[in-house]
Amino acid sequence: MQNHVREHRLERQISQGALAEAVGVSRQTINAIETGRYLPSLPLAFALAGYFGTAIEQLFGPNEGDA
Amino acid sequence: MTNDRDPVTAWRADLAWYLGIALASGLAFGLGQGVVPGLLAGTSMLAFAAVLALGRRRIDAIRIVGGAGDERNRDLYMRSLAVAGGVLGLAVTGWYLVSVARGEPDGTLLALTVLFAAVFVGTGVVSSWRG
Repeated sequence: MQNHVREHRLERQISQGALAEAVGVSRQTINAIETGRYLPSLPLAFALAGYFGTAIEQLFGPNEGDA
Repeated sequence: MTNDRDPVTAWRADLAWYLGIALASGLAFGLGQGVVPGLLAGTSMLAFAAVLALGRRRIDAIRIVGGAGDERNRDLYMRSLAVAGGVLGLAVTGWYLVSVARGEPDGTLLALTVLFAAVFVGTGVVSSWRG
């Protein structure tokens, strides 16, 4: 999976800690999501999409070649 | 949503659990080995509990070991438990087989092996039902 959480966060000029607090997880979890080490649950993915006011597909999508 | 354990309730439950383990350790060692080993065992468990309680706000690994935190922490906690359980299951089973090969089958190890297998299969079946 690829994700665009970091791009959206930097666009908003907020820190990982602020985003983490807004969606109810730790800063390390946001970092793990941004670096592709952790795939968030659907509720968390929707919370992130809701926070950024975007569709979930704009944040997460399959890599090229993924089914 | 992602932190579905109420922090205050979770903290009280964790504290009660830690204190219970410390008390049980202290009592077991105290009864079997004497007062000083009992105090040492109880104090060691309390120190471990204090590290978990004080460190989990700042240190990710401590949140994982303590089973606290968000969905990623709990996911990693479950993975750690699964690895630890798997290693323990293999070690106990292997140890039992060694005791059989030596001609002195160990009943305690057999009971632990059966318990591990029963819990593993039972959990798998229940998990399958619950989806």
